[in-house]
Amino acid sequence: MTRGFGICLIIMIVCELISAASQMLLKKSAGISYGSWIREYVNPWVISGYLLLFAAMFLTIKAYAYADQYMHVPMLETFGYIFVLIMGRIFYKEKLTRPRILGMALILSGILVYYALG
Amino acid sequence: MKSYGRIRQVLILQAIIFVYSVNSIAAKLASGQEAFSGLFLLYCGLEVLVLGIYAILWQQAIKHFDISVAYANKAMVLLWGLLWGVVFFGDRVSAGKLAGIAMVIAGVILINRGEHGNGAESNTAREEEGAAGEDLPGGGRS
Repeated sequence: MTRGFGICLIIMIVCELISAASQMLLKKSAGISYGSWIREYVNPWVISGYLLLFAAMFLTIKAYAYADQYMHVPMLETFGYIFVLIMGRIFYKEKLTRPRILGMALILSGILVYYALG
Repeated sequence: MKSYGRIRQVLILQAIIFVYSVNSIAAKLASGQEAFSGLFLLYCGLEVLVLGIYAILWQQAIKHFDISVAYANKAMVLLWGLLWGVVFFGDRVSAGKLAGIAMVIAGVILINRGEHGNGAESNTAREEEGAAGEDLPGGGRS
């Protein structure tokens, strides 16, 4: 593992934790019924959610600067799926069904295969 | 009828994810520029624009999904990323990379299929309960 990739990895883990937190805020808003469509976007949940996503966007640019291959970043973004699955379980009691766990395992194995064989 | 509507919702979600994938091109281009130079700001602006469009559409789409399922669909970004990598940034495709991405896509399909209607109940029911992803007895009638 090169130093650049190591830094890229750390940046992306922080970035995906932030992104996952932002998805929780967005989902909170999506579960509320608002009178108008403007209110669906202009509310504290969505605004704070997108502020977090904005911060994540700059972290992603930083990560690309350290990645020697373009595809490193999209691959590392997949950490987000695990974080969202765990946070969805904690905050919204979304079910960790067997297909979901298997699907997640398949996604992670795919990433390992991508790096091990690719 | 029901599963037909579900396929449509997943396809719409996938179209939104395609839009999202374009933002990574702008991010990669921005990373190659000196911070806060003209081109850097241009690519950042482009990224914000794409993310803005994605954001508006995403907020509508996630009403119909558990957030963990909707987010897992984003793994398809890898397929588009591979295409952008090859077309714009000279990345190489190999059998190993394709196998890895195929497994990721299989995982996404499994997650979408394994929902048991939990995320598909009507919005009204969801709003009245005030809690998304509330467990429903018998997997929910939808």
